[in-house]
Amino acid sequence: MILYYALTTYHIQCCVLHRLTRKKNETAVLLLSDIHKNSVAFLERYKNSGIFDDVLLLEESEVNANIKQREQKHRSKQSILKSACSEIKKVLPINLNSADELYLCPDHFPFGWYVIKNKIKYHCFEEGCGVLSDNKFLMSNMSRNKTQTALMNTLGYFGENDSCVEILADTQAQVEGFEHPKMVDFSVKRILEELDVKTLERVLSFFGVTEIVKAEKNTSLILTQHMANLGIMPLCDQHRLYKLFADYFLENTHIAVKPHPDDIAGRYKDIFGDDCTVLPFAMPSELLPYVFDGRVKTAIAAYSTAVKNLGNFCDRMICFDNRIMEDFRHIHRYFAAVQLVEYLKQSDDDIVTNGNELLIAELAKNDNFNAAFKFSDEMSDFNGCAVISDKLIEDNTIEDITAFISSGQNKGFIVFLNEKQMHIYFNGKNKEVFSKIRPIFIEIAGKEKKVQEVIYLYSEDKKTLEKAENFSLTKELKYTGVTIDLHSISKSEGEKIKMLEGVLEATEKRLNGYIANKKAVDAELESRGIKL
Amino acid sequence: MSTIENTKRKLKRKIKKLKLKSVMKNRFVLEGFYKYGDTDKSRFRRMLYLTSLHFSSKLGSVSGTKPKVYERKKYTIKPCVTAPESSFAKRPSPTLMAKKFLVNDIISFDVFDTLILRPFDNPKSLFFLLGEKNKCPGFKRYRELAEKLARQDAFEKSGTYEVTLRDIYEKLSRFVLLDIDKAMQYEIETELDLCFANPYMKEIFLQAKNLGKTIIAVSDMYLSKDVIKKMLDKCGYEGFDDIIVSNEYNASKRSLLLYEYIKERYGVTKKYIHIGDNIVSDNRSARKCDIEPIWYKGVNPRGNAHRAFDMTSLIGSAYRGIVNAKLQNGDKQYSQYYEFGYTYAGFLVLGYCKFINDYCKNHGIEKILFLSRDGYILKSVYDELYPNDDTEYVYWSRSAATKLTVNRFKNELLLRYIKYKIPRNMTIEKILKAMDLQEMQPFLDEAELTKDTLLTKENYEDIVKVFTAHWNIITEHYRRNNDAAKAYYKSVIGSSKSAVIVDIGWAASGFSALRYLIEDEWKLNCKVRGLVAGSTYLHDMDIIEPQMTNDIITSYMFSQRINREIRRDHDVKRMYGAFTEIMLSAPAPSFIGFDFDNDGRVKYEFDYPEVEGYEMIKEIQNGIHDFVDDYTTHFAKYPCMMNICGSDAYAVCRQVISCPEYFSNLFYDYPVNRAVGSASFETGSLGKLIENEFVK
Repeated sequence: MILYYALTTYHIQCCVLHRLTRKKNETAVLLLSDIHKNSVAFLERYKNSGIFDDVLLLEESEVNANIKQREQKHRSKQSILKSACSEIKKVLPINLNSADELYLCPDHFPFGWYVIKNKIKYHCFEEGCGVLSDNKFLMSNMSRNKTQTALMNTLGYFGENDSCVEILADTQAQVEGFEHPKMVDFSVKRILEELDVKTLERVLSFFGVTEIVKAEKNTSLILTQHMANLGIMPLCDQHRLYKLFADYFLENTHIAVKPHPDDIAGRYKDIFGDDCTVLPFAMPSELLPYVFDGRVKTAIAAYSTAVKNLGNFCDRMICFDNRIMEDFRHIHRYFAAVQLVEYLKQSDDDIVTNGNELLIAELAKNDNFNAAFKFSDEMSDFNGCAVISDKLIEDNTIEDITAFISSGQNKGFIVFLNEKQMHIYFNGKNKEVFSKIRPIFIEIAGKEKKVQEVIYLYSEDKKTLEKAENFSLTKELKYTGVTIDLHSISKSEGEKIKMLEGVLEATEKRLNGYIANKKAVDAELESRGIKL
Repeated sequence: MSTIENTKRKLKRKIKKLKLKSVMKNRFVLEGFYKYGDTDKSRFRRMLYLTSLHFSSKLGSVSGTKPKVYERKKYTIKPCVTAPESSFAKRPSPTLMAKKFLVNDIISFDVFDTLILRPFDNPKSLFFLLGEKNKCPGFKRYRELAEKLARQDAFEKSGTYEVTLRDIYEKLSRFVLLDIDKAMQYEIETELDLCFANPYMKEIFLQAKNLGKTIIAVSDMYLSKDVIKKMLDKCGYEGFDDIIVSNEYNASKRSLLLYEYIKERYGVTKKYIHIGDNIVSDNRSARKCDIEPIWYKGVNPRGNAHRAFDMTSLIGSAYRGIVNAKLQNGDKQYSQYYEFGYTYAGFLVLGYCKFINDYCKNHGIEKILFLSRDGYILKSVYDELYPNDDTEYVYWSRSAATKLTVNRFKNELLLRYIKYKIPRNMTIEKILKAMDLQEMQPFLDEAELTKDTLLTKENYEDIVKVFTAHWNIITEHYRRNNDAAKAYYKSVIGSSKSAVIVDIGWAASGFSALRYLIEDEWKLNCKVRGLVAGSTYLHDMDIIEPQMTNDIITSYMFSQRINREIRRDHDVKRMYGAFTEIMLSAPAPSFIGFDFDNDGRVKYEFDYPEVEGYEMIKEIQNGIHDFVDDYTTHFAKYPCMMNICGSDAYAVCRQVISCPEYFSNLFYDYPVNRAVGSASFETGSLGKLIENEFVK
């Protein structure tokens, strides 16, 4: 008997495909962890599909809850491990000795601990497509839990232990040149491509897909992630992120949404209206090419690994990295910067940025603005056309930045995103910089209060500055429900005052910095027993 | 939790109860213990003090009556000191609830105080408004009694307490003869006007809807299903499979019968979740019927632990209801500064703005001048509330006033710039710099008061003598500033014949100086009056007595003429004034004076900006604006609710200003420039000020 243990939807999919292609003639039992609520909710459907001889539920969530309680009581990691293993033994609905082979995915939850600790031989599926060689994101998630981090080192998660016989992973999705002694090729994408129609239908029906979606010519797809569920951001911010994606990248298209299997709380019908197609969340995204009857115009995801598998299914694929989770809050600034650069740019030189170059490049592609965007946080690279984020202050002093600006090394122009209102072009003294600066106002008007953001253009060239003064653009963001109006300084005194307010704001910030410095010095002196 | 810990906890609770019982025994003991009992004393000494209070109470036969609820709450209810109140209102996140819903089939919601909130901490407060609609004094009490009678009657007849609205109104005829249909319609109409969606529950509801679950609303209520449906629709809740109301089934949630009916109807094998606020009917009863309960402890029981109670019943209930709904619903967490603005300052600002508006209407005022800096937020809110009124935010300060009125209020200059600076160890040079009067140095040198001489009590009179002898130089020196100020105010006042000057308080010195300048010195042909939030002055309690008697200055919250007991309570030595001013602070530097620039245009001069406090102030002001928006939105159809009397506004303020630990914790680093006008870079902090100047 083959025993599969799965937790997430991707893992269940691996088990289903493995069972149907590699172990189709053997007795197979699927053990589902109840940590994943989808497994509890769709257990009956999984059972009725007939793919497995039996589908059992492992009551692992209570064990997990007890682990958290013990963590709060600061119990030792070994004691937590021991108690979790003994609890797993009690709740196991099947005798593990009855299984000839055990396939685990993942092995870093209590059941995995139990298997590794008891030195039971098992086969392991990689955590996600290509994750075996590129596990940065996985590790950053793992590092948030101290117990997991400690046990990862002692037990050896993800197949890195003696009990694991092999790691089933997509060899072609790994980082180039990556090798692993236990790696055995198991590509979900290729298996699906090779499946016969009948088997494919069984797989689709297992995951709740009952009908094929007609992809109109103009269909776009959003692949969501469960940021709110992971506690990365509140649900309202997650909704806002996808609204902004739709507004900036999927304008005038029919929107289809594939929620992440754990994105249970995403309310996409409410956001995009009844016209949008929302696919079952409990379906793995690898099945997407088989759910649509045609190609999708644009597919967009925040930082999903699933997009990598979409291949030829879409004309344009947009995927950022995890910087987007912060940078989406400044997307209007990025948009304004791209529009301004497009309006002002005359040469074909690269555009250098220390901000989110992926976001800038995709915003530029929207307008067929064919320019190369290069990431650099070296100031010496900002000698042509540059878009500078306030992140520059993290590795440079304000004096260095202003010295670079006043050196005249920049022969093109610089757009300061000013997303943290740091006004990094001004150090409190170099007031002459304002004669070479033009503010670009971003008026954001919606149902709520009108908000204004400002980016700043710097150039030594007077003609560029004069041209910038005539810059204006309006864009309606349908889903966000706001209109953004971009314009430079107008003749009205009111806005000149606003510019002065910016100067004042900067001055105040500097002053605050001096005060903070003084406090720190005073505290240091006091700690050394020196009183001025 | 171990048994020892449990016993300890129980014991502690019992001791606390015993202490409270003993303290609350009579008014004499209560006031004595809280007002004068020093919290820094050891427990033993406090116990002794309490015993002695009881002893003297018996000896002096001042046992008195048991203190009223609000009197007790005045001392025992405190603001949230250590963290934002909203951070204690932790509720399960929408994502967590979605996961719960996923594995259940039927999602049931309680309606009142769960899906729907009302802008009162007690729903019965709504009957006050009905009393006014029905033109019936005492209506609230009659309505309560009628409901009681109707329920008793129903129990006798059918064994349940379920009644309809009509049953209640029929019983009401025992007390007052009304047109029943009309009166019922008033109640339904008022309920519909005032109900609003609980923002947290709205998201939870939408989660259930999004997952395609069967959603039902279940309520133990006398209102009909139709009315409840209308209320839910108005609040944006659409998509219920059914709305089940107790009075239509003669069965309630509390008695379990309603749950049993639901299970029978939807299927006993189905999985149910019920969300509601009542610990018995929504939690225990549901659990007994094998329905998973999610107890959403009501916003009002949670929030009222921190609210002021010594207020008028209707406005007090509205204030508490609105603040509780905002901070306790669980939808968002706010910063403590925002909450300070929302909970305390917003109510004062709203009440004061309405008072200003009424005053202007009654006195035919053409222009309203809000003095800097306290007037900044007042003007901003006032303009939102009354956009058609002619208002101006005008630059003014004690420092500017002192310089501009040297030819009239001589002693003001000597006091503010010299005498009050004695404790600050300032040199003559610094003082002259602050006054911008360096040309006085040669005359002071003649009296052997050199640049480096420290200002002391002993040489104060000598300095005064020199100043008095050369007063014409001082007057002449400030003439240019005076001309600039005149030009500024002339353009501000324009052709207005009457204006009111709005300030926070306390001696109305800003108003008095400006009044003299506008009416007498500059002769701008405009009659000015003054409004202050409160009037009290430590050095001279009767400083503006004649102006108040003459109706030139009016106070909103308290003065010698109104709410004298509040004025006595407003303890300046305990920094009540300073704490109140923080509520209305502005993110701008202190104004110093007027001058002309090189082009002959009026120029404003400011002191160094106290930027450390600007972010806090902006947050406070966001809170103020949001409170005013919420309050005015909820009561848009009930303008009478805007009439917030001064004593109500003060009760809310008092709750926080009488709690120095709140300010020590929240505003410890808040910059306080005690040397305004002294051109000093150094600012103190409120925390240090409390440590040094707060009189226990």
